[in-house]
Amino acid sequence: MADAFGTDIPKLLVSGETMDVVKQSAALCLLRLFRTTQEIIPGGEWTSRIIHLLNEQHMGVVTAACSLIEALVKKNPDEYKGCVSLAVSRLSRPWALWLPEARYPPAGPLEGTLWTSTPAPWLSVKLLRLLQHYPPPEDPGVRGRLNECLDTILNKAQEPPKSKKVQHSNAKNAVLFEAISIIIHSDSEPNLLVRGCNQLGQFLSHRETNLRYLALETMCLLATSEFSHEAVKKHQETVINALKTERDVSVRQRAVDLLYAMCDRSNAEEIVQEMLNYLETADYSIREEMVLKVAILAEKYAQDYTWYVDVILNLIRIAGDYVSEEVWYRVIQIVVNREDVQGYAAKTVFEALQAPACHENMVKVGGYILGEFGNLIAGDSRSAPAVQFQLLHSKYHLCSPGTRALLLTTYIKFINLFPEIKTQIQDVLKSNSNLRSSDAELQQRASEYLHLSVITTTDVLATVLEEMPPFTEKESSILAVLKKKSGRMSAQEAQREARVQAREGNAAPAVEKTQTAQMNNSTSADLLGLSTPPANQNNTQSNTGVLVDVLGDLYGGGGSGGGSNTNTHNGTAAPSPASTSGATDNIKKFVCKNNGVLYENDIIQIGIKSEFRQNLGRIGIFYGNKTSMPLQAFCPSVSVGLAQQGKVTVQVKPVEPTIDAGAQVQQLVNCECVEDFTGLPDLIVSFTYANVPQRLALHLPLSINKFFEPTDMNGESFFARWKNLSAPSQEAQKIFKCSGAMETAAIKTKLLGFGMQLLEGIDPNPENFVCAAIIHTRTQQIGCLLRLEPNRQAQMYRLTIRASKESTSGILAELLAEQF
Amino acid sequence: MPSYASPSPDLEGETKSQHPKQAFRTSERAAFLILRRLCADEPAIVLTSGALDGLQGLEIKMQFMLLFSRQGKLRLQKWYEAHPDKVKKKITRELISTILARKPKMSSFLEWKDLKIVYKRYASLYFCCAIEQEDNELLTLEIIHRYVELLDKYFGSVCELDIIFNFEKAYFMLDELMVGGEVCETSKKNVLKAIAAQDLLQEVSYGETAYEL
Repeated sequence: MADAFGTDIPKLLVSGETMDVVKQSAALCLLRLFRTTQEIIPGGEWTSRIIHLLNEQHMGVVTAACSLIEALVKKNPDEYKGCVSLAVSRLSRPWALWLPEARYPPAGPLEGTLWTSTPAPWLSVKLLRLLQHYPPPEDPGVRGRLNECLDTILNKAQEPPKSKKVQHSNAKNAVLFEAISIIIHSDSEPNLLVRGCNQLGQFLSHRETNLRYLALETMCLLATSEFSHEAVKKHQETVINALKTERDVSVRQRAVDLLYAMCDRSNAEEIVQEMLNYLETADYSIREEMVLKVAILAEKYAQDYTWYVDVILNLIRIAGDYVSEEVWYRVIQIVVNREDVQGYAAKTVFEALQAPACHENMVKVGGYILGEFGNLIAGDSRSAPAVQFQLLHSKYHLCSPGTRALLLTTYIKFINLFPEIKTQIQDVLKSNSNLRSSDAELQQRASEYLHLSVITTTDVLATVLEEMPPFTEKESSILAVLKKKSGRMSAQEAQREARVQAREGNAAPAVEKTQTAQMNNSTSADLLGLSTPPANQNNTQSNTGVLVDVLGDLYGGGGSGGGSNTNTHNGTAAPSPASTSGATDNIKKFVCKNNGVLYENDIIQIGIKSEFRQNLGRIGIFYGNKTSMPLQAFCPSVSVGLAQQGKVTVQVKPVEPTIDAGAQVQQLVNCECVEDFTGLPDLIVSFTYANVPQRLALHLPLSINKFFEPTDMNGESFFARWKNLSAPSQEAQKIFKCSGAMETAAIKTKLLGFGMQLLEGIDPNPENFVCAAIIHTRTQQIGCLLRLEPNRQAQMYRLTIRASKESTSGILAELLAEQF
Repeated sequence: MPSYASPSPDLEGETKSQHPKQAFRTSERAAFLILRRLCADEPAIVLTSGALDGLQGLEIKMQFMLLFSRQGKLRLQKWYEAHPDKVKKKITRELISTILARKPKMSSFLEWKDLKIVYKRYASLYFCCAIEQEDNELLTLEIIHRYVELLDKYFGSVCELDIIFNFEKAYFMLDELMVGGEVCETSKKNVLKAIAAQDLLQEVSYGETAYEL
């Protein structure tokens, strides 16, 4: 049906003769069809004709056209750019909003739309919504008029309602909220932002629950803007009050969100305290999210780490059930990394453990910290080694196997720290419930630890059980969990979350894990020949520094990044009007080389240096500002396509939000191949140059062949293996035409660059090339054999790849065939 | 349920003569009816992954509208996004129980999956709409209110029974007000005019058959 009418409907829509009612239906119908088949809307001159529907007299037609244009804009913002000025002028016509003149309808059938003091709430809201798909208009005239309109809307909100009915103010407030959201979106008019904030402040104490709910929700957005952050903070009292008195859970939840958003260094202690107070009585449904938020705030704004430790321990005490693993992992990481709080932490957990009933999570934290730093408080007779041990062991029987295992590790650490209680601990390890525990893990630990303590000398023991090395600093995994929890994720955030998840693998601080973490640390360190030292060796650097950076990255780099952030958040691809002439995108070449220029235009140059070893790799991305102005709100993001998620992980270091004129910054990306993958991760670079948002959609040159390890072999074993991989699904063959010259030297370079070992003198035909290599992934190793047969007469190649994993050969053939 | 189809073409001439005010030209009228048909019906289920994943498929302003009583009986449903019947039933069940559990002083908005639910109670009936994240909640309340006003005007202080017995009229009115999930006709008068015209048509056709019998 869509095909049948596809050509007629647009004609009906823009024809001058069609009746208004039909036009209106045509617009909505076209919108419907457009959602089914995107191709239905013709381009070219139709664009401007459709845009000019906004000038129609009939309200219904304009409203319908607005819906249609909005859908079109979402798909193709550049083409429909012209609608901005038209929409603004439509908005600024007096009768579009509720100016007094609105009582005098202009020409055209308008009756019925003038039914309240808001003559056309639908149209107004639609127009405002449409404008939010674009950055604020550049033309000062248009911009001025838009601001005037917004101003009027805000003024109008102050007027007392003409009628007491809720319904009438609903329409008015609908427009008001939409206006505020466009103000937040453009984030450039401090005056309007503050006024919007004040207006919302009034709503905070409005008797309508709906308005309070919306005001809290909208304020969350306002709090992220640097201009209105302070203004939002003025309402802290009211919000905290709402938390205490509001009867609706969802409204309270909004209040929590807002407190979280408005929190900064100056009010962190107070807000965290209020949230802790509320947590004791909070609804079960929002407790977990609150716990995470408190944990993040405490960490982000902690000036004094003793305060942080107190907060987290309180958190465990109040809502132990809702404290997820990430939270207590994190507190341990921080305590281990910061020497100055270790003693305090040991003392506090010791005290906390003395409570008659304490939560299992508390036992875990306590067990871990005392095992590491119990010696710091052992001097005091009240917390002598034996007392510490007794205290922990008194909780032992009440705990789950996981916690018991952790406690056993603590005990062996005690043996090292306090040789005087060795026999006591050995008795415990020897006890039947441990040595013959039904839980295999406990049994193993008990017997291993027991023998360790019996056999080894103190020196060996001391080496084995040395104090934990500081944890590698990375983004707090709590944030990721929070993101998952709060169902309100924009696409952007979802991508980031995926990134964060990729790193989570390393975040667990269990004893065994650290060993691997350490190993990772060393491999990645020597893996790198890049100019700067790898960030994860900078353990001396303060934790918060890194963490806050990461947070900054997530939340748009604090204030200055706010603007660009809103742009990307709405999912609009920010148009890049600046010249992109001379832009070069060299992604294809990178299949066969590791270093070079990835992208270059008049503004920015992006270079790549990469190095791979086995299943790990490190890519340095160099961003060079070629202009004489700084690039603002600089935010590159790397993401792995949905289909490839989990197959390859990338871990990206944050970069500063500004690149000075002529400067170059480097960003490191650590990657790991989990299993064979196709395609390339996306690299989205967004920044503002001369106040114009720019967005580059590139790819990160990370293809499966980067993880090759060349393998040498003789002819015999090559053919033996080749025959072994004879299943049809293991082989991929491609015959293709050569695009350049067929030079033996060039082909050799490419094959070597591809990462495989070139085996010479194996194929009976000297013209042919055979190669062998192994792909290292985390899960397995994939052997790959290749044979390339050039046919010089026909200028064709035949490429055959066999791989031990079925899907891999096809991927490789695709990649390599493009290179010739 | 009476057919949603437009009146059969042979009635067209008669309509015109009876309602000279209705200035439709025949061709335009046909176009109009076809256009409405194209978007008024629930879309056929498109078997894309999006459609099956639930509610994330296409960008549609309003996803669906439900009317149900305080006892949890569904009175009216209009879906602007295609779902298999099973999914619809599940959604309906879930929403009805969630909303009925809410107290009167609570806000009319709630987040559900990745949609926003806006509901309002009028007497014994709950009107419940699902909209997208970025849509305006208050405006949706406004649409609900507009619909209630329409029903009220047409039935003369509407009650649940009116909707039970004349559900087709309620559907007709909703179809005039909203097309494909978007507000279409904002004027109450125009909607009522259109419905009155339909009523007349119906009477004429029923009348004729009665005489023939």
